[in-house]
Amino acid sequence: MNMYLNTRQINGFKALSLCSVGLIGFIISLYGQSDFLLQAGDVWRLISAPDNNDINQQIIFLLRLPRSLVACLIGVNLGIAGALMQGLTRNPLASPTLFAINSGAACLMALNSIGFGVLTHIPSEVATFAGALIGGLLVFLLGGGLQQNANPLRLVLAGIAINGLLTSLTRAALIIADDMAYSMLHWLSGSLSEVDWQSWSQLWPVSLLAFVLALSTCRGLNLTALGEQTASSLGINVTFLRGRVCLTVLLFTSISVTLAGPIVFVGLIAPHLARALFRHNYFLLVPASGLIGGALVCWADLLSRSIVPPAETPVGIVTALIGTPFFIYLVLRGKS
Amino acid sequence: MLIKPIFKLFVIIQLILGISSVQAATIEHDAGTLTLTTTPTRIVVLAFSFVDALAVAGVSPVGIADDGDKNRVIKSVRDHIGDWQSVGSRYQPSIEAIAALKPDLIIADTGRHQSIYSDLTRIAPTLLLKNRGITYQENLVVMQKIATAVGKSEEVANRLAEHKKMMQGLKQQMETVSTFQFAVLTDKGMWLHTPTSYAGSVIAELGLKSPLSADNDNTYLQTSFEQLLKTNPDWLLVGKYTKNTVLDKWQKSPLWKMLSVAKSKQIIEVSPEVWSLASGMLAAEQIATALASQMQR
Amino acid sequence: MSRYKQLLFGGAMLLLMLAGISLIYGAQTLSINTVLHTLWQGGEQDFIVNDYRLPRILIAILVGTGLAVSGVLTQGIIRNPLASPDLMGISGGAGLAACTVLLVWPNIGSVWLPVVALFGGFSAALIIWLLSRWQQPSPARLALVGIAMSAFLSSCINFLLVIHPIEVNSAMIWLTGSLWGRNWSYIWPLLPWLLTLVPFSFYLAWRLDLFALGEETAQALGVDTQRLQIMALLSAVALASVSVAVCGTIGFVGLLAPHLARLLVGSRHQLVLPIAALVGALLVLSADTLARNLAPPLELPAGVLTAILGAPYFIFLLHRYKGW
Repeated sequence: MNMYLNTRQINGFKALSLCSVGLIGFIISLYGQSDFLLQAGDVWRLISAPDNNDINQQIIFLLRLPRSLVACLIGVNLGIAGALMQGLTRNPLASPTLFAINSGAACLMALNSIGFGVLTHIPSEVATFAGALIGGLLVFLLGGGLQQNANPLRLVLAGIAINGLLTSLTRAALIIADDMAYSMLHWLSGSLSEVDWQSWSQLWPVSLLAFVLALSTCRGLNLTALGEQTASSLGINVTFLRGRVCLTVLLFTSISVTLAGPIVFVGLIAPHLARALFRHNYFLLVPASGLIGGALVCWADLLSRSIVPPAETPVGIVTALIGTPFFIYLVLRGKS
Repeated sequence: MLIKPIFKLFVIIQLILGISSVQAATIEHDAGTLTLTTTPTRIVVLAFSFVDALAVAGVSPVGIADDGDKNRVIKSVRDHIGDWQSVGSRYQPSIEAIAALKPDLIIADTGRHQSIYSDLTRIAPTLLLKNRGITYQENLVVMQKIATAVGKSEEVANRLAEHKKMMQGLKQQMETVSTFQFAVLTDKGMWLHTPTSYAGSVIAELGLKSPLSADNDNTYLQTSFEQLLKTNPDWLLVGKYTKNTVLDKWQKSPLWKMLSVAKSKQIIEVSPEVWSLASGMLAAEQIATALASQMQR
Repeated sequence: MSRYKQLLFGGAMLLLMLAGISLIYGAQTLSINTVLHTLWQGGEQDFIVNDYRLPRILIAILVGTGLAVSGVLTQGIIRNPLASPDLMGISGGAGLAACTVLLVWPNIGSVWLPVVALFGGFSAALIIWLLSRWQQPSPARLALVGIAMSAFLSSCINFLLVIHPIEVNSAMIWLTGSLWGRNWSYIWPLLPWLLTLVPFSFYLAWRLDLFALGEETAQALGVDTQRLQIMALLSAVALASVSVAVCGTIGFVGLLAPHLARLLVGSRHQLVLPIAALVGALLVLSADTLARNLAPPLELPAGVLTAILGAPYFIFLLHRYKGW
């Protein structure tokens, strides 16, 4: 047996274990922590003997299933977006948060909620999505995204500035609209409690498109990791690549934030974990980051319902609480 | 110059009038004991439930921390007081604006204004009382303290007796089998107000049952559709902060018909300002009458 | 005059002018004469001018300076443009400690808040320091640990806010950073720290320049890099903690001011430090002045405005800067 096959087998094993971790979380979250005392058997009966009048089955099918599906897919999206961001800026601190997508979405959502000007007349989902796009595009354009040989540092700095600006506006809105503050705060920490089948049908087409785009950038990212000069000499149009990566990140993150609010930290932590497991090949890193992100959000959502029942802890908080200690350990121990 | 002597005379007259109404009032409050030698006439209040108390006493404040929007003081309170100047928001009232009004009594909220208490006392004698997170019973105590401070304890005591009689009367009309729940709705979610909230404590005072389990110490409880299905109150009173709410989405779900309020149509829209923001005695009366009138239908 | 001196002079003048404006305008507008008269002799407006507006102006300047210098030191040591006092978990630690107190014992009173915040900030820094002792990571790794810590801490804060919804607003304002209700009693705990640590950071300046050339170069030139890192980080932590303790976590100043200064005068720390301090002071002071005057008598928290003021200028400089 040669070395190459061996790595493949090891990678396959790692991927398989990640999948099963995610799947277990997915199944448990279908019935776990409910006031209705749902059981694994109810999930099984929903598959084997569906019954429209059984309230337990109905709850699993109409409330739990879409929620778990959306949780997983959003995790996948954020994980991949993070991997792409870190590849693009070659800065390990970069995450989708940097692109001001989350803060843009949060800002317009908050302004929409307190009834600011024309924003009152559009639905909050539309405002949120628009905010995500505006925030992301602003950073991309001001960060020199369209210029030849733009320094990734510039993108980072533009991100900081726009993020700061939008976050401040959000806070102002939150403080002014005192009576709405806690409902917005909940959303701002990332919450999956309001997703349903409709959210799922909005989520998956966009995610699929973005995933195809993401795969198409992998070769370019592998080469730019060697330096932009090298990449150019190997026939990669760096500006075009940057544009595509940004568009992909924008798609992934804006649809996620629209449906579930800003779930931070997944985009930062998933790529780091993936890199620890699969090294630097983006063809592996991208799906692996997605898998890790999906499993992370799925488990986080499950935990979010169990920490202080019956209240739900926003899922974004849980992702950070369970992710951080592990992340710090990884950073300190890591060899990369 | 004529103005000066006239001004002096005016001051003297005021002093005499002041002395004539001397009623040294001593009030225990959250920062110690406050003794007032004269009855205050220029009062600045920094929370809505205190405005309610002043309205009961029949005294108009000169300044209110009304978040810059006079409509945030509910109508039943506004009708009992004269016009006032805004002194900014409740969370950060403008100390300059308060000083400019030259008040002789400031009533501040312990929860929000403790940090500026020393500054406030340099402007005028200051009462520090509970407002944020207050319940029905606590508010009645606070109201009597304010009444003592403004020299209207007798009037307010009479009014309070009237109020208690009214609440007793309404309590008789209530049916005590069903469960009642007040909830605030936005497009981001639903929050149940438990019996430790103001509206919840008024509902409990009327002898009405809560669908929530008693061991719950949260004031506001965020609720998903699944939890609402479990809580399943017989009456649901909702205060909507936004035009579109999550309720619209839930009503389309096939699970909606499993709720008992969906069958009985006992889901009633109420004003969130009265039920959640005002937290005074007049607001409580409005809540109680609203409940009673629903019951009669 | 050299361009640098002009810049410094102009900045100082601007700061003075802004302070004047801040003394004159507010919920009540006073005339210049009244202000000057009151400053010297007191009188009817004594409370508003001498005990309300003046201490707030001084605190704004001190806090702005403290945060900016702290930012310069952090970025100098960590050598990552995303580094800032917020990143080291200092603001997060201070914020978490303060929020815990605000939410769990709402009646503890704000006298203790700064102390608690200071304690929180130092504990967070201590944890990061212990972690760094354990594995001796590179500055880049340390930055990663810092960013993870601050994300963790801010999640803890959000968690507290979500399970105690009734206290959200006061915690929110504290987290945004505000100078509302800050009087003379807040200045005395702040002053000694700044008077010792700001000069000390000048003492570190040329060593940081060498450090920027790379750790090995610096060592070859006789700098004890280990000691430099610890001293600079400790000063940064202390400066940020006392500032946060007084005004809450005013964001963006520690991050923005050093970058702005660097875009204006290059990267030598000796030159960057005074400009950054000026920028920080200007930013916080103008934010607070605006916060009081945008819609009186409504007051906004100053922390909301620092970014709104700073970001556009920052983006303008970013656009113009050619030294990539």
